[in-house]
Amino acid sequence: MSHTGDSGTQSVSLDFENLVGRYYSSLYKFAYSLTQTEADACDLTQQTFYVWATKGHQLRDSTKVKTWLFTTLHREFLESRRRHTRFPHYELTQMDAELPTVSPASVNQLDAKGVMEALARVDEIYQAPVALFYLRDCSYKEIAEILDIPMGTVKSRIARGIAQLHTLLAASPSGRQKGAA
Amino acid sequence: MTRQEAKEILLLYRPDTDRNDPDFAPALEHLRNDPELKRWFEQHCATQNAVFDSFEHISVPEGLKEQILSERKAHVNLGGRRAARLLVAAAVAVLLLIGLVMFYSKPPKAIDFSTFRLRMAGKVLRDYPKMDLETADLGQIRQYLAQHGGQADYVLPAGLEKTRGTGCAIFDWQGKRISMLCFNSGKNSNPKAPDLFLFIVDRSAVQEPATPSSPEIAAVKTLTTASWVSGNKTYLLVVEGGQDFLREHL
Repeated sequence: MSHTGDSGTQSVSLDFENLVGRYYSSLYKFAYSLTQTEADACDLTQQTFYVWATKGHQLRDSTKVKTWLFTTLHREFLESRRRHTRFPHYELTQMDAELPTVSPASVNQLDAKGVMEALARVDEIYQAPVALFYLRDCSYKEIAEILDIPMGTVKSRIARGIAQLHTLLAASPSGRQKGAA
Repeated sequence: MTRQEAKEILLLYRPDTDRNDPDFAPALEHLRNDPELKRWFEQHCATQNAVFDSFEHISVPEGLKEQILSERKAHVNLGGRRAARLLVAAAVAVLLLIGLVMFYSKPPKAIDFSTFRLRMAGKVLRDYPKMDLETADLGQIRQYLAQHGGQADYVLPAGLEKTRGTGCAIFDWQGKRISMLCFNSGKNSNPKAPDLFLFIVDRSAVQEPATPSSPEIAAVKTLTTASWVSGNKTYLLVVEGGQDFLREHL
């Protein structure tokens, strides 16, 4: 399947300022989709570049910079979460027979805040792959590398995550009101 | 291919991106002969576009890029580029000279205190950095800091003097040397896991808190902090607990 964003095999300059300019916005958006708060997202983004500044020299393959940064941010996020909560264990089950649809009225009501709130309620195991999918910065191959899971698992988690997200959006209060109107 | 199978494939379809992707071709072909599937798909694409737009419109805070760049560590990776290293070596001599002139002509800029507090609290939340030394002995902690360039001539509040230590770390942040002392209040089931973190930095390194002479209490994220100035040091105590818990250790 094709993808957007820059190519996973593209070599990029390792100059710090160039890297920040190139990726800070995408990384912040990924962090925000995981944490739902501006302060935590800023902190995670800053921490990611801090780790790059101190450990980035260990990366020999400059084509891997993007996935390295996203992986680092995700690991920092997991580390902070592990400190406060225990991840529930999820078994991947068969997808619901009926896939959700969001009413046209609900679609018009969607905004970033509502979508992020719904994403926060999606099973945690699906949140990161779904966020990376919607950010459109990473190919499926890159998402697999970032999360360190096989490509097939990435796709199934994205599919299940999208299904959950759409179900939540369809059931949101504004959606129900509009749908009933 | 059944309708359900087509739906499961099309769930991953990104409008405008995957139109020509051969992986989706059979499922897209299926739309021609299945009006119900087509209706579902059109609605699905409308929803997907709205969600994509939502992600697109996440606003990035102003000044974040500048903040990241200002935190850049001195030892940013320069890779294995030999030519760059030679250039850097030459530049270092020049910069050293300029730096010396600047050092003696202008005092270094102090960091905003609230930024310092926020970033230190962030380290606690992430359990980062790790401790350089793990010990319950406060004497050993002081000795370690003295031997490794940390702030060793600190004065602990009476409450912390009586608290069990767990270790310490020394690190640089925005070019300033910071010492972190970790304690365990006894409320934590793991005696080695700290729940009180005292950050010490030279007074001149950060701007003073609003009430430097008496502890200023502030909540940062899920943590509670107290900050004060004593002698030539600025102190920031970060605890995993509320104000009452914090006051017990001042």
